[in-house]
Amino acid sequence: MPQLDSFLPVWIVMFPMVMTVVIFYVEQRSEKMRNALAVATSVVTFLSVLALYPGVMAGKIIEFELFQILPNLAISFRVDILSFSLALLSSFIWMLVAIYSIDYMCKEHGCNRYYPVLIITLASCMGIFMAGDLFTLFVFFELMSLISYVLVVHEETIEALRAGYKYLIMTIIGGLALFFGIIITFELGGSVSLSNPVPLISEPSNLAFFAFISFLIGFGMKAGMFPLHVWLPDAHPVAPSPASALLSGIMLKTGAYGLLRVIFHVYGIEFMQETGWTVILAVVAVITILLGSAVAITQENLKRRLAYSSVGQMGYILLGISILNERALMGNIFHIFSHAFMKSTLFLAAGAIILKTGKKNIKDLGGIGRQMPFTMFAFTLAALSMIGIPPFNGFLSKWTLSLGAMDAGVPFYVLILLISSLLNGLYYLPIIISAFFGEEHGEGHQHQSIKINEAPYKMLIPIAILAISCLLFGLLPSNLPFDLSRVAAEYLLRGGF
Amino acid sequence: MIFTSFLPVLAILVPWLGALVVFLAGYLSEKLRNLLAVLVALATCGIVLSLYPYVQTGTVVYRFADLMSFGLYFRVDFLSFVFAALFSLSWLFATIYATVYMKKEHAQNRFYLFLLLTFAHCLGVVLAGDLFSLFLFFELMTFSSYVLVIHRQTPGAIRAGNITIYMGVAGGLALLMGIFILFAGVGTLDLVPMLERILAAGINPLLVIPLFMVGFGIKMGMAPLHIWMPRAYEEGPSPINAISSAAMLKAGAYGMIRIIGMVFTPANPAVVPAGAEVIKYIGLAVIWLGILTMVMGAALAILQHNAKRILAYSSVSQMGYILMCIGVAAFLGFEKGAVGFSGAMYHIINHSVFKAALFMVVGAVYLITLDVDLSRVRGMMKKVPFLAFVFLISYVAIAGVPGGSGYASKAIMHRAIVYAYKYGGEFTSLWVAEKFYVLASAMTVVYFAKLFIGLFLGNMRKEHLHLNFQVSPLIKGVLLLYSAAILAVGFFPNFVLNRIVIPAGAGFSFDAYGFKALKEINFFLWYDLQEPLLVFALAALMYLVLDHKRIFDWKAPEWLSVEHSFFLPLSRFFFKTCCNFGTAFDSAINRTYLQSGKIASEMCKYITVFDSSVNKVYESSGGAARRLAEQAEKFDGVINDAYEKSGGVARMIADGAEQFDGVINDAYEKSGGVARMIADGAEQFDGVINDAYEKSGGVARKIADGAEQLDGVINDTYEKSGQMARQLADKTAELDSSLDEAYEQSGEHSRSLWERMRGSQSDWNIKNLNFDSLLIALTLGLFLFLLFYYTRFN
Repeated sequence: MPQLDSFLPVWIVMFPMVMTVVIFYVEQRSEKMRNALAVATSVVTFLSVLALYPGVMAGKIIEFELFQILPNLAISFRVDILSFSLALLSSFIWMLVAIYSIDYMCKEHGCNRYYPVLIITLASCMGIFMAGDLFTLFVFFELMSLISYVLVVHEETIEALRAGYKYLIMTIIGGLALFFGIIITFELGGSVSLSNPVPLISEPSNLAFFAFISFLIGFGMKAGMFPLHVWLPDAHPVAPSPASALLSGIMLKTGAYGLLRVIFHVYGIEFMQETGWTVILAVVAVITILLGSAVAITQENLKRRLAYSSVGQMGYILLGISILNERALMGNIFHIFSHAFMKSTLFLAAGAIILKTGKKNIKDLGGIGRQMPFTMFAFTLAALSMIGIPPFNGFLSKWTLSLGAMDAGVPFYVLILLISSLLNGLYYLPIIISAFFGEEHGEGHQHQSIKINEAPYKMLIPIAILAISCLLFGLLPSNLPFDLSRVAAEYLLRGGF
Repeated sequence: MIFTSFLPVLAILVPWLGALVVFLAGYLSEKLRNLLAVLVALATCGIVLSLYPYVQTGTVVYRFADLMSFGLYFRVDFLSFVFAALFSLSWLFATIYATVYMKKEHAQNRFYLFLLLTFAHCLGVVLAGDLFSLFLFFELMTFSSYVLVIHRQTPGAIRAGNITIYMGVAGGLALLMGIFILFAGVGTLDLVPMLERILAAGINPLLVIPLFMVGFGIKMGMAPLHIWMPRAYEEGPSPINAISSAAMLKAGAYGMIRIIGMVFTPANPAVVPAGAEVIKYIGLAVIWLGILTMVMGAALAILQHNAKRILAYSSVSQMGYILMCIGVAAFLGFEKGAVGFSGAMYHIINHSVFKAALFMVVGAVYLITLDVDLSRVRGMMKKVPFLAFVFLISYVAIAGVPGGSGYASKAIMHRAIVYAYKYGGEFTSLWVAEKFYVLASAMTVVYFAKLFIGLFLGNMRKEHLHLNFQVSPLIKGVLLLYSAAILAVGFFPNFVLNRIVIPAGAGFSFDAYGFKALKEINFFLWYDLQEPLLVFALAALMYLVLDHKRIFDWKAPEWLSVEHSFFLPLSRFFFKTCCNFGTAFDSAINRTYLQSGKIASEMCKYITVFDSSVNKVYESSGGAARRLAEQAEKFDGVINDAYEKSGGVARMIADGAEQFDGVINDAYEKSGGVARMIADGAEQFDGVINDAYEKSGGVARKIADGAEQLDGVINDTYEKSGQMARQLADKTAELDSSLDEAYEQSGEHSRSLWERMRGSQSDWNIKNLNFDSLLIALTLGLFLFLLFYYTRFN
């Protein structure tokens, strides 16, 4: 008799899927009901993930096989500490975004399309993190990638459609590459399960190398890795802001998650250290960091700047994966958390600005801090965290990551991180400075007449929670994300058991 | 002795939380807010000073384990205490001064909030026990002081603020890099002498110390990193100038002392570790940087016209003195380094006092005239003699006249540079350094003379005459306190030296003998008095020459400034390489992707042609079918005709048969007549036969009728079948055209869907998708196959 929590992963994935259908029916009758159901679904999902906490923290690995399609090829679920960390993070931010969406989307068209898609993307995202084998992971990965297309093109403008088209093509390329990788893994290892006691591929060969490159393309595409990042700066800004927050905050991380799984479960850490294939990843990551940060400076559109910033930040995470030691890994996983919190805050704040003032370009943002002090304060916290100012969480992840790089004996990476921090400063500080101290463009100079015009509280509360998390998770001595990162890093270095 | 006490934390928490309280109180009443702000500063001052009994005999520590994963660590020794006391006193006076000065400014709530926050962070820098905590507060200080610098929010202030904050961030990152290298090597960031461990860990001090020097040097205005200072000082309000000169610059100097004077010195001076001589070279470099800073600052101060800018460059120059002394301490090392350290410490204290007083005087002038440009503001002496008096006292101090506070510190600093030359071994260049030192001191006298003469002497301009020359009693009180302090230190220099400066050297690895020698100095002897005399003689000469040649009004060409010749090109270069190159690179990648789409769409055009030709085949085959059907119809008509004709033939045959029958009948009738004639007797028989024959003719006729009827039926059937065939042909033609239409429609449908999807015609085409995937799948498959082949069969 399996225990109850073996079924939890299935429940966590299936529940939002079922609810998608329910929402789809309900929304024909009542919009309020639809919103409530969407929020309720994400809350229940979050709580269900949270229910895994005691078991997972006790070191248990929950495995559950749903059914076999072919021998050795099944839809199965597996929750370990890494899965749990990311699932918890994702469902938490999803919950906040769902709440935020209620007021943000009320003026948008096509809400009846938006909500079911939002929830089914949640389901597929949970599926990715809780997948027990590469095949299941692939299925949910493709599901998420393809469905989020609808989120990208939500506005249905020409730019959105173009960006969506680009996204679609890149997704398909990535999916194909991933598929090849999985097939080769199956051929070489005889299984694609992540719960193998030894890594699936144990001997370096041309084919294994080809599989590695395929995985790199497949997951790297999603993670916005250079030179496969081109879809990202187009797709993220055109989506509605809550969706951008999820795209940047969570969905990029699925790529990083996949790479972690590939490196530690498919190949194993000794294999990677022997062959040194991660050098490829490191080189690309360095270019990604510098490119993303440098190009962000020249962007005029706020959300586009944030999107390029995401490219740079994903570079940090990829760099952390490539270093392959405990502190770097810890910093990398913690940066997944940090970046999710920071970037969601920034995108949601940008969304609040767009909703209230319709301003999208940075040069129009002069004096917006006087009009929306609360939103811009949250924005400032997250942006300072992005630059890596202590005591925010961005600093903590950068600190841990850099110490990992120093442990590995490559101060060059630290230099890259610091240069990128300087560039982050160069593109975030002008926004803050002009928002609080700059002159408002047009409409004369009416210092006194500026009225506080904040977004509705259902939008402010998620922003506030995220922004405060940025501070707390940097400052507090032992916070959940940091502990999870530490345990997860140890767990991965043990070989994933 | 080590005391664990919450006091250092409290010293930071009180102004921090107080700042929030003051901010909120500002919404209630301005007076309450100002009062609270002063009280918070006072309370903090009290907390800091209450540390005195502890630091006399030991250090005060407090540790928050694991906060920020690394742990915050506070450790107060006498050096930290001196700095903290200096900061909190300066802040207290500046806050009192600000309550008057800021009265008419906007956003005062914000001002007090950040004033006190900066206070907390600034104290944090000096109370921190390790480099991690120090860095944390250092960064926070950079950001919170930014708001103070740009307080006026004029475009000039914003520009000054930008330079300040970007240099601050860059400096912070240089600092962080140094911290990383240090921590990775020795595994600790504590502020204790540990040169042995650093060298044992294989860290090259030549790599790490410059990083720290950039980080702290930016804050303390070390040339050539000083460029933010004049701008920030010119734009910032006067109380902010006072505290940034008295405290924030000193925070940089504090870091410099801690790193060069402490962390990079051997814990056990008796055993000199291998490779330690590099520290000596670094010390030499710092001495020369200090000389450069002091001469450059003084020279630039001479050329300025704005009183605040003169004072700003003066601060740069004075920080050069301090830097030089820090360099001497490192250069001379254990045996004689104490003199350098003492000179630096003493001058830090003195400079904090008299520079704050000077800025406050200039600020008071500004409150009256709203202008401090020397070309416009003149003759203030007659109207506000009090300010002139305080200014003169500070002048005495900064010029190093015996009786002012600067005299003693300058005497020690002069000794330091002389010692460096005397005991420094083969470095004869230091002889030149000493001359530069004297030159810079003379220049100091000159530019202050220019400032004093410009601001206080001469005739006042008419439009200034009717101004209100009242100076607030609070300002007067603060300035009086400062003057008293200056004079007290000036007349009793040994008190400060013995009670404050020398105890601060505890914990450093300097020979106690060096301190002892300093303790017994009598400053008012010929040895020390000759230097000021020389300086004044030189200064008098210089002033006359400069005044005569009108060099005071000379405007230096732009290319001479470090900013224009170095920093601007550097930042431009940085932007060009980073952003332009990055953006170009990025868009090139993007273009590559689009280009591949274009090529694919180019190829798809051929497929479209093929597709349309297939379409044409279908269309033409439809036409052929129609033609075929027409042919069939015609053929059918022919057959129909044939049948109709065959019906006519049959009728003709039947008629023929009838005729034949009639002929036979006639023949029989005729033969009957003959037979009647021949055999009447057989008439009956003949009649019977006749009947029978008649009957058989009827039957034949009936048969013929039947045949005719049958023929008609057949005829009908054929006609009907012809019609059916025509209908069938029509149907197929219809189907064909509807198929045709369906194809066209579906074509149009898909075309319009993808036309919408791709946005514009030039770049994208539906077929990209299929064809891209196809191509990629093919290429990948081919690649896979090759790999398979080679791994399996080779």
